[in-house]
Amino acid sequence: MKKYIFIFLVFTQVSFAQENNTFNLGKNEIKFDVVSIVALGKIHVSYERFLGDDFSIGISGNFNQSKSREEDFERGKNRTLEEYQIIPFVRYSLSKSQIRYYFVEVFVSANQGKYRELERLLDQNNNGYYEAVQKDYSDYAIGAAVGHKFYIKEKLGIDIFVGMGKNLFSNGESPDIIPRVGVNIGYRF
Amino acid sequence: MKTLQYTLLFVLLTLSISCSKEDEEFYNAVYTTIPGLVTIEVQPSFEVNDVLWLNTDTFSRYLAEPNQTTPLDVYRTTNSETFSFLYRLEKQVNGEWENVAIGSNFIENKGEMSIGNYVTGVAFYNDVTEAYEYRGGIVLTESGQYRIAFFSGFNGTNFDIISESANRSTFLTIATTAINAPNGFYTFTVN
Repeated sequence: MKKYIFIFLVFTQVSFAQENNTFNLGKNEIKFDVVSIVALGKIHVSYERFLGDDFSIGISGNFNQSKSREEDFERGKNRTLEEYQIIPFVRYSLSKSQIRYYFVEVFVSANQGKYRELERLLDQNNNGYYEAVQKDYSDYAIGAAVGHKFYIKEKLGIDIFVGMGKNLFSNGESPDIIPRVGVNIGYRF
Repeated sequence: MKTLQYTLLFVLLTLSISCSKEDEEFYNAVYTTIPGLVTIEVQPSFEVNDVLWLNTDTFSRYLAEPNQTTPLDVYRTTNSETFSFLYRLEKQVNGEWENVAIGSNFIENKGEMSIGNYVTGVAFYNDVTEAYEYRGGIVLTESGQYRIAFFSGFNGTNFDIISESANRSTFLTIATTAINAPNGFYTFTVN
């Protein structure tokens, strides 16, 4: 137990000591979202470009690879199946530290997928019946997120963020709300 | 303070993952109102040990749907082999209506009866007659004033008869009425 406390104390001391220094971090970062692939079955990759101490811009790609979500959609359990999202974003740091800070983010999302809609159809004998018909949707969302970011050894970045966006042109086809959630592990260079 | 912030962030993260499923609401369901799918077989008077029958003789596969010019194919919509509905037998005791325990005093002529605190009548699809068929009887074992009552349906007035749809098939709930049960009750006396 003492060993763990010692390691924790050393780690936090190093971490706090680092926060007091100035760093010459790279301007670019590529990252991969571990939560999306594990919890949601999506591949979520991002690129972030740092424009100064406070601002950064970036773009994320979000691609559904979840067999279980596809099966749920095919079985009629889910109404929509998102296939991909392209998400340009702008982040603003709320802290002075470069290696451990909170941030806010504004993003837009171009998203596309499949959905099912109940329609009343007619058979050849002119009898009506209801059936869930599959169609495609595409929409654009705008939203915001908040998060926390920190670096290990000035290269390995970890950011945790949560937020959501609203699809602007949804008439019941696309999802009303687009979640923006993840835990990114990135490499800064 | 940092612990609180991390905890808050973790809670928000968890909530958002849950919220990401907000769109997965049950969409594949149709609700409609078609009266008269159940019939109570009335007779001028009942004696002890007579049987009170309910049937679904008017429940064809093809039903006239409100606000539509073409019939609704119930079977093609639902792919359901059964439709079920609930009712109960009540007896008047000291001016109050009390639920009667049916026990084993029932007869299945067509379809199936499931007995609990109320009766679940299950109508089975017959592909020869192209109709959902049910005829279930309750044996009247004691004299007294009785009534058949139904549970309120989705529209608040009629009772529901519900498909048992599988896989991707549409779930159909029909708010209906029983022939010979004005205002949802059939009241009768057993001598």
